[in-house]
Amino acid sequence: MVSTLRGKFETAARLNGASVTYCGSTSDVARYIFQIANRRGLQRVLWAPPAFRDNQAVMDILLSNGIHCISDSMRKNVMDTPIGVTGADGAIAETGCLLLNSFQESTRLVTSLTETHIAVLTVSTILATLEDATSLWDIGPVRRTKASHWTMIGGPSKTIAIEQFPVPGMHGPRELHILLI
Amino acid sequence: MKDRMPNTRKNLSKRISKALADPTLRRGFGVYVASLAEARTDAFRNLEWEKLQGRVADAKKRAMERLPELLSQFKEEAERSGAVVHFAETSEDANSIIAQIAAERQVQRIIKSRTFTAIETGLTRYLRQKGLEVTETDLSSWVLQLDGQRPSHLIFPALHLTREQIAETLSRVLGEPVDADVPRLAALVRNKLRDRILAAQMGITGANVAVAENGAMVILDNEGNTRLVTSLPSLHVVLMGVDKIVRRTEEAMTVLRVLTRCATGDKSASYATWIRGPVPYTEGGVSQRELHVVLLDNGRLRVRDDPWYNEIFQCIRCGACSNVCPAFKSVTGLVFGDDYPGPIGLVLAGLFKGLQQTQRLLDLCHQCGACREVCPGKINLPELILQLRQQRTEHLGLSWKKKIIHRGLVSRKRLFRIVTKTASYLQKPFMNQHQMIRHLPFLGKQARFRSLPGLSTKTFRDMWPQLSSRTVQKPLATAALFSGCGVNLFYPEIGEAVVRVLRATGVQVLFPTQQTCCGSPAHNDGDLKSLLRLAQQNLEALRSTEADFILTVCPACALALKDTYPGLLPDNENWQKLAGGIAEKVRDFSFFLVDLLNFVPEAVVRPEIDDEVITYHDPCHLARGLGIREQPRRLIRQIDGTELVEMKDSTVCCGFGKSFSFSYPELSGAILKEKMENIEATGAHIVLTDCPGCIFQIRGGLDRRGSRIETFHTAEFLAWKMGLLE
Repeated sequence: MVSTLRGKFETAARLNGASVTYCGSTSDVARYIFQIANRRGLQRVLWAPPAFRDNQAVMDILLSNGIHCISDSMRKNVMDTPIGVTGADGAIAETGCLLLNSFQESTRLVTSLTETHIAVLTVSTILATLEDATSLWDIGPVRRTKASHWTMIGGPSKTIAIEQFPVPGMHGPRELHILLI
Repeated sequence: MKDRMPNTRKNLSKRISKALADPTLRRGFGVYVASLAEARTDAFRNLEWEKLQGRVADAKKRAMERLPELLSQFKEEAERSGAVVHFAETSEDANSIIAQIAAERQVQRIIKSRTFTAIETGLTRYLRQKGLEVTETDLSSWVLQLDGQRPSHLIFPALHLTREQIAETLSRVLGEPVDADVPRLAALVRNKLRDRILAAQMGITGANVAVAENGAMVILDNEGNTRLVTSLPSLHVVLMGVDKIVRRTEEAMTVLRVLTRCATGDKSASYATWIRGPVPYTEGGVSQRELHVVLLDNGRLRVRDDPWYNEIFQCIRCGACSNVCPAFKSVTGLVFGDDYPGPIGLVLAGLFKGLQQTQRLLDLCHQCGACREVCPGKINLPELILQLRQQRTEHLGLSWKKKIIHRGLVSRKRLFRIVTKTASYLQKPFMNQHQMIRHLPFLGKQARFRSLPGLSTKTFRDMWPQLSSRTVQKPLATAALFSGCGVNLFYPEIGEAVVRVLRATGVQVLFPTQQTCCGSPAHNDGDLKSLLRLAQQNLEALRSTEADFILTVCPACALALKDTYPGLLPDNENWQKLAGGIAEKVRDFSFFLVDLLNFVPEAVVRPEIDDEVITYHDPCHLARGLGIREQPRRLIRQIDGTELVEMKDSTVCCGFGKSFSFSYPELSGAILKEKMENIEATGAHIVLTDCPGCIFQIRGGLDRRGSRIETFHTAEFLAWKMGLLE
């Protein structure tokens, strides 16, 4: 069951324009992020919640390889750091979208103002359909007395407003990399 | 945004001419719209469309029924999470509430993401008049804002503009040379808007769905601007119609699942932002954001009790109806629609602006029924438009032309017969060798997109005594022919063919001579009075027939007898019994032959005529109205020596639409042109169809075009192949 959901999710997410990579280990995740940063000659990436398993371990490996993971003064840092890393709280196999609790402003900034968004997704959190995500809204972080902000991310930002010609990267990230763990 | 000229017929005709004369529109818009419709079809290929459609329609309908309760639940829940909920009865109320929120906080700079609700209320103009700076942030809306243009499409408002036109606008406004390269244009817009977005003090968005049980709202977008508008300024105002509310989160999920697929064919938008209450903020010493929700009524609550109009609550604003509408495709939402583009826009315009101002828009619909099939909310838009035309007749009366035709002529049986007979002689000087009329002095230049058939000097009724002289021994069944005006007045040869084919098959044919026009043209024009009169005359003519079946050769007549008549007087028991009994007997020609008689023509085929390439046009009322698509094709395929080649878009309307083709000949002609091109592309010698209206349109168009392709009713072709006609 889990493997078919994963397959469905991968297909749908790729159709949406995301790149999907399976990472077998913590160091695979770190290596992937390192390569993306390195390709752009960057020594830093932005880091925002949700956290994922081995979150800290990945940050440590990156730091030992000269990549700083920044988690503060997001409004300022997001202006000159074009790569952001987050976890994900779940995903939908049918539509290929990620579910992110975006209560923290840093999550929203990192996923909407960077050029490259790298999201680390735990395979076991993939759900079949959108309707299955209802429970997340009802019993999870939505407390009846508290505000909440969730984002479903179905691919990189894009526009086909002019002559239906597809352009990736309009106001938000041009690239969405999903790392499956 | 520029003010729009009043929607008079003259103005609409002018707008149609302008749109049709624009070569870039012809090349671009129609093609994009068609590809969106295709993408939608693909997106539902592996899903149970009807089940999902039912779930969306049910959820929205349930919400409409309990709306007052859900509105207060939504308010309570949203406010529990820290939002402030306002209720606006009118557009003016909504605008002033939002202006006041801005004024109280000394807001100067506002950013917006696209919402048609704000177009409905005229919000941007209102705020600008108050001296505020309002900037649209999605690419299309910003370009339209810079140029003072209206949106042409619900999902892609600038779809009518080319990259060159957009570059020109940007260059003029920014005062710098701009390259007409799409990625560079997008980058330019992003860079120009980024500073304004960062500097804004207030963000305004709409919402796609709102959930009563927890006060959450969802906003979809692909470009990512909505996320910035909802996140960067410390103040966020949502303006949405009360029809956006559903009861439960799960229902909202279903709406989302269907919405993006219907709109663009995508399984998911790039972003769905779920907001419930104000979340933390880190800028400038403010720790808490502010969230205001303005719920707009503007006439929506008033139509909750209207059994037809309240279907608009089932709309999720996906634009699917636009993408399959032939008229919309030809002239864009700048003509076909009002504040909201497309078929749904015609209906909403009536609600928001009143029938007086928008009545003419209703005539732009040619009643092909394509929109009804793709609507995720199961809205019967064609029927809704007919209902509005009836309301228009009730409140504003019929136009003088329609009054003369329906009330003065067609519904007076004797006079109708005398006038059509006289006209059949008077028309002679105008006819060509094909018995077609290419020019009539009183029809304008624009009406010359097709030749008109002459009225037959010998109607089918005149022909009947001679035809009826032979009877069938031991018939399989007895069928009463309901000829309809098309066959009786213009194409009696179709009636003759039907009689001969049925007789050869062993069916006894009767012709109740007191029958008259079925009333569907009057129905189409919203003239319920004439329709009722004609229905009475026909039921009277048919009530005493001993026939087992009532046979139609025109699907519009079939629908009138089957669906319309029984619904006319729902509380009259006698009427119900009579109309219901007759409705049950109605069968259309091809269905009768194939499904009831298992017709096989092999023994009687005219062998010496061979190798015809045939293509088939599906009449709207046959394919969508009666659900008959396969039967005529089976008849055609059974004939030796004929090859059936399917044309592209065989079920798309030919553009006839009864009075539509006379009211808006240019638009009708544009739709017909596409049909004729699809017919020609098959290489067929003959196009067959099962509707006299389509024959009127297609044969006339092909004659006008000088084409050698011939147009026939399937019955005629069959009779001819069976050697039953000379």
